[in-house]
Amino acid sequence: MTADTREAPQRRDLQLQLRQEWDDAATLLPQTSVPEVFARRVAEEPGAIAVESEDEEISYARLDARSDRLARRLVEQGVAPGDHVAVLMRRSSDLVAALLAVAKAGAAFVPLSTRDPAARMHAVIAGSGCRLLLVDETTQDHEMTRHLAYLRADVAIGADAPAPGAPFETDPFGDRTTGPEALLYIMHTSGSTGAPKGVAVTHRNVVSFALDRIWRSGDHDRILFHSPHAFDASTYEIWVPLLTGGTVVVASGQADAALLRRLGGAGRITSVWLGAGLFGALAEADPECLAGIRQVWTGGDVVPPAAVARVQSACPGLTVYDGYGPTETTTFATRHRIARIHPEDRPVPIGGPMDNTRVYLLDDRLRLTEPGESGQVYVAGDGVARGYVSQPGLTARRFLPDIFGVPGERMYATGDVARRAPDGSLSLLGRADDQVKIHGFRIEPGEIESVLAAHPEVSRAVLLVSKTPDGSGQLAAVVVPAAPGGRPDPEALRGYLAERLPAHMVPARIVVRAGLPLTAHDKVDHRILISELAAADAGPAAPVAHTAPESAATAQTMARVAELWSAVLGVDRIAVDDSFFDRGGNSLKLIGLHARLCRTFGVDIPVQRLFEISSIRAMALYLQKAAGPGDGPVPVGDPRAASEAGARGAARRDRIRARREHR
Amino acid sequence: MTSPFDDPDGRFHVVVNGEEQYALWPEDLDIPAGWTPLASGDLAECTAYVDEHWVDMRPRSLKSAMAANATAQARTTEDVSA
Repeated sequence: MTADTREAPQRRDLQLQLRQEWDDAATLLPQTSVPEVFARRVAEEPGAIAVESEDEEISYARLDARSDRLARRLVEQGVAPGDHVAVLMRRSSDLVAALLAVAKAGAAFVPLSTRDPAARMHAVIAGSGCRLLLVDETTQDHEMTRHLAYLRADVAIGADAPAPGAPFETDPFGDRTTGPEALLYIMHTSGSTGAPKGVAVTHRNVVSFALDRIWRSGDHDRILFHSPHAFDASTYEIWVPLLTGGTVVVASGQADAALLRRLGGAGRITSVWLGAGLFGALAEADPECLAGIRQVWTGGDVVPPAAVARVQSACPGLTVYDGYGPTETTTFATRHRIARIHPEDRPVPIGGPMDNTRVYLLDDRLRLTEPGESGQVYVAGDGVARGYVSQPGLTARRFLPDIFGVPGERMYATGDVARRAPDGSLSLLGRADDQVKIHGFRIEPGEIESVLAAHPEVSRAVLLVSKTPDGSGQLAAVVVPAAPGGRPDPEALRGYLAERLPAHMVPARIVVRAGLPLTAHDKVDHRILISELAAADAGPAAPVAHTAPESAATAQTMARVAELWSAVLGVDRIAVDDSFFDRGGNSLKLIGLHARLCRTFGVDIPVQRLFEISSIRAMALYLQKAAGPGDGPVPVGDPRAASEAGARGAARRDRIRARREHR
Repeated sequence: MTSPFDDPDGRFHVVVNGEEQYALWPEDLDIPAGWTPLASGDLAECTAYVDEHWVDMRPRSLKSAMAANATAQARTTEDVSA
């Protein structure tokens, strides 16, 4: 191949790619900081609602005044521009004010997750050099307060108590940030070496993201804040509303089907981000719960077409988007509006770039690939973060010269592999570093997974490499049936694959599972799947434990609860005293179970209670109590369910509505 | 398909841009516009070089803005105390 023939298609492709990308990149961004853009919204409409929680509505002017008070306290505590402040608080309106206050003081916030073990918090604080910790009433006794100077943010924010008719604040704090390149936050992701990586995100990154034209339709006026603030979906949930004049609607607890139905039905939220795992769980258990919402954005993992199809047919007025992007490029680098989809369709594309973003697919010589060829995903533009805090060497290997941009600009190497369709939209194929070798063959797991997932009886598939006794690798696949309770025949699936893929790409084993275990960040938990495979190889399942005799009604309730557990966990034999979490359950699965329990038994129980009562026996007894005196809850289908439990649910909904209208 | 920047046997340049940000770049590719080579070696050597030399990861424009702000603030303080 001569240089000429290699260069010519390259240039053509480059022009095509850049035309598609620059067309979308027309926003002129203010060279400014998050507090400055927020201040403009305050000036435009001070009385608009900035934050709404269960117990209060806070106007832009009031949020401005609250964050000013805390910003002043931070400066008194010695916080200076460029400092890092750790934030360990529950999700609340005070948390929103606290993050804004840290930004106004010119510092970067470092969110800590209450779910994380202390060892990880120590690593995060040490790695990012935090000298102050913000806490609230619920976290003031956390053991981290013994290791770091701390401040009660909720106390510093205090009560508003303005004189009637008086302005909220006569002495504005202002903004101490040093322009768009200053850091707004540092969020941590797991690093390949085991220590968390702190991704340093600037004001420019977040202003660019929040002012993207995609948010201007009116569908993002009221966004649910339910993601952990240590996870960068919260950038969408907090800063898109606050920088565009919208409303942050705070969910203090875990978002579940009942909450989404209630808030969406009342018009209190117009859009919500649901990680692919949670989206899939809700789509399977209760797709109608999204009916009152205008847009749902999902992603973070492969979005199963079957789940989208279920939601689309249950909620005709809802638009579903797939948003893709690593933390290093600020929440979303690309987005795809999902048109009508069929369950058997190929995995949902990730679409095209957000405003002021360029996405290149490059080969291993950093050349642009032809449309239809796979390539590694490199992201350039205003979303590209500063780098990894205190890890210059790693930063230099991932944040590279952008050979297609303005000289001196950088692009981020995501490590994801994608393909560009003729219409320009991208589809993820897998990870560059996930590639496996079986008997000397290079195998792209994403390819096998997408072929399997295209089978009509399969909604999702995960490829695993298990070790055989002789130490060599063997492919295995875990598939989730398209229809709840379905049992596709593994041998038939292997035959299906053998018709479509080379023999070395057909997994030796295919295991059917009702759902996929997820990590705290809504990614499929491969470790659990691999250990289940190993356990299944080791011997037969443990026998069901003998239990004390129960009343007939309790036994019947337990049997129904056990069926729902099986459907959610994908395991068949469960003892009535097993812990949900020991049998592969996680909080997302518990939400799926909660939706099923409420529907099956016609009750309206708080999902938080289920975290505390995690056995089949305890759940059955609780359900009997929740259903009131008598002979226990009655599964839906029995006429009594509709008349009694249904009436109770309706009465409760009426009370909630009345309370809301009364305010 | 693996990242060329994960290849322990690969040869790289350490390059730097006008904002004093460092990056690795394959040795056998042209140096991109806007970047200056500082050193070269294998993956481990180049990573170590960057870890040693890129001490302050703030971009140059931010460093000067912060320095200017600090000077302005010091002057204001002097004025007030004078």
